Amino acid sequence: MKNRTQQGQIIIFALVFLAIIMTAAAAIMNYTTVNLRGERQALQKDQALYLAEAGLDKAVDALNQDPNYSGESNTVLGSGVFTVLVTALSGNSKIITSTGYIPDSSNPQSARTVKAVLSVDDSVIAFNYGVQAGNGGFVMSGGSAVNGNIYSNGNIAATNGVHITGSATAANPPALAPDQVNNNPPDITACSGTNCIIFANTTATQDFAQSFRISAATPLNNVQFYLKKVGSPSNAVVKIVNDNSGSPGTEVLLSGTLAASAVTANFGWITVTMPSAPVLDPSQTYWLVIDASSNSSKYYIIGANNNGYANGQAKVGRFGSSWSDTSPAGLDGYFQIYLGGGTSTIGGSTYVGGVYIGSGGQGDAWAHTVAGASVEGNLYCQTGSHNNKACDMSRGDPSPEPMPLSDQNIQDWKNEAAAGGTIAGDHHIDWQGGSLGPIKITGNLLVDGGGTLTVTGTLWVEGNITLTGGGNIRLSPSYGASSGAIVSDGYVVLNGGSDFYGSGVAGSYPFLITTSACPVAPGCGGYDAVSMSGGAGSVVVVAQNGNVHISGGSALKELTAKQITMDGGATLIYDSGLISSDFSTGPGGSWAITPDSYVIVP
Amino acid sequence: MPFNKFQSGQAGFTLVELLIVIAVSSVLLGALFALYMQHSSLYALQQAQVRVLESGRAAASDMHIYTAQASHVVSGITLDGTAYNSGTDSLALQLPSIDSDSNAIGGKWDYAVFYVSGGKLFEKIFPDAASSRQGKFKILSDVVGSLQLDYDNADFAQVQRVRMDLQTRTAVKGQPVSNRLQQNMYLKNH
Repeated sequence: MKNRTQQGQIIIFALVFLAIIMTAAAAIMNYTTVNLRGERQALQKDQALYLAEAGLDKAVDALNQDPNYSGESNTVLGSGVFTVLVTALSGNSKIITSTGYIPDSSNPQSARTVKAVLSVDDSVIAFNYGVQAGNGGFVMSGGSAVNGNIYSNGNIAATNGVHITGSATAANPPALAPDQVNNNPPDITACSGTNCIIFANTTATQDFAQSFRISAATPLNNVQFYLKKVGSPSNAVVKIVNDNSGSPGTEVLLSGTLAASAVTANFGWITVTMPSAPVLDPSQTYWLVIDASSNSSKYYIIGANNNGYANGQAKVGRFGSSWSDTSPAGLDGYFQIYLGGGTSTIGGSTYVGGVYIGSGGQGDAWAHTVAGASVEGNLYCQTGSHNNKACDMSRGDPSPEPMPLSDQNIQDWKNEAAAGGTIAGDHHIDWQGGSLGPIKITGNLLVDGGGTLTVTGTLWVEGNITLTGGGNIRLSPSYGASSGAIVSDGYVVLNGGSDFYGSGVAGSYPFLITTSACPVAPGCGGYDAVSMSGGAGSVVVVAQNGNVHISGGSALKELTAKQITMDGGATLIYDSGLISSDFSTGPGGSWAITPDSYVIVP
Repeated sequence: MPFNKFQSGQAGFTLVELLIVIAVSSVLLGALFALYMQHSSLYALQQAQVRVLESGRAAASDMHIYTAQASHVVSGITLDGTAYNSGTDSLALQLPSIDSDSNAIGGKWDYAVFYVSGGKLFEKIFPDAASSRQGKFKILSDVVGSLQLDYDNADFAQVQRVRMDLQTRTAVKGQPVSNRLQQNMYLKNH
């Protein structure tokens, strides 16, 4: 029997082999693990960012459901959570800070934060000023007051103890520039029938008229005619009148004097200024009428050419009577219409205190010229007189601000109203009261007899709106905290103690909007776009194309118009909540991310 | 009694045993060598895959983040003396500047620029002097095959969406390794 004690080395080889294998495997696994971890972290970082954005989207939706939404914590979504913090900046503006966490906020492996400012369609409707006037500027007198800020794209004529508790700004009109022209006349040595138009020589050709359309709603500075005279005719009156089926109408919108002494026996450009700087409607055709008297030996001649002006034509005839084409037909007079120019002024009194601007040590006045103002804050101007302090010239002149409503805003409301049906003709709400809306009325709307019109939806009145005899307008309680729109294409008359009410919830107001260009439009009959006398109004009045006249102790929440006149103790109490312009539908009805406010926190 | 060499005290290997050991060892070493070579190739391939994947993902992530915060795509701008344009393989963005609390500063702008050059995708951030955003010059990827950017509007100022198609590629011992990443990027500040 053998007694063997054989020994071998295979185990050593096996161990060495195993060690090498394990080392290689470990290296691969380590590399894979490191990269997997890196990828996982990168993925989690992206996931946390998407969670944060989800929180932001949630905040937008929640605010549109409930304006009092104040945020939330640790809302579970997918493999993580998000937390939303809401911080109010103002009535219509909030900062949202949303943070996403993976897997949770207690022990996050990754977290990302986004921030954004949410506002209520601020870019669409922003009633940032208690009173905002367009190119027509405005006139305040008789102790009228504005509790808020004023912004005007024209003069703010404020005298006789006007109070503006906020700031007042008057921007300059656009620079003086020719708008409508038929110029570059040749040297006219003699009339040949087509190069001049003779008028004021016979009854039938007593007056001259030239139709035109301006291109922009900018104050009219002056009109010029290429005229000469024969003999010594009398002064003439230059009138801007309406168009009546292709001839001059009889509605005189403005008039100025053509001084005969300025006209010579040779052709030259004669300038006629209007007493105020009217703002005409670019959508309307107007006529320049030189209303003269007739004398066969004392008359005027205006240079002319054949179809030299594309947007109108010349006629001869008699104002208030009949008109006929020129001979030959189709002639246009040489004329020029200048718009813009000048600088704006606040005040106008020759003593300190014609207008008081500011309260509590704050409230600035800013215009090229300020006169007769007592300003609590800063006085920014280039020239000043009779003010309580010297001009601070550091700012230059202010620039015009756009009106808060666009044509599309108004059209959206009209579409809303029309979708609810149409009432043909006029509609009358008497002492029994009634409800309307959404609805379109093709005629006029009259509310009187102490009756109350309850607005249950957007109203569109193609004609005029008249509230008198204690007639009231109230928003239905269904509006809640939202405001409602009442749109008119005609003029609006509010008197006799007419009152406006919201829904009863704070921040709810009726918005009375007219597209009328009265008084410088046909069919106005001397009415302003809005005439309001007496009564208190929890109402926002907007007449961006026309004039508004407020008097007799009326009170409004906000006022925007092309031109504004306040007197007779009218008071305007601006509600800061109007920056929110929170409508239940239509423009301004939703919270949205304000452009240029979204930030991914680094 | 017969002589028993095992009882003589001598230890050693026979020739046969040695030959067997040598043969076995050779086989094992060959296997180890082959294993090493395979591991080496695998490692290189894995590295390449990670490189094209990670660089593509990082590039897409950064471009998404800055595009989301952009208010406008800029058609062309000169920054620090160098002109940058937006096009099919380059993107210049205008972003609101931010303060120390990461709130947007009105009227102040930072710029983010992405462009491809020499197979590399570059990112440059140009913050306004008043901004708390950090300036940056970064190579997002050094294995760019192609970058294709499409805009939803021919007017760069009106662009609200940028579509990105990024291909990253490299090769390992002649074997191509590539990755393709596409995403829509929306300008949330537009």
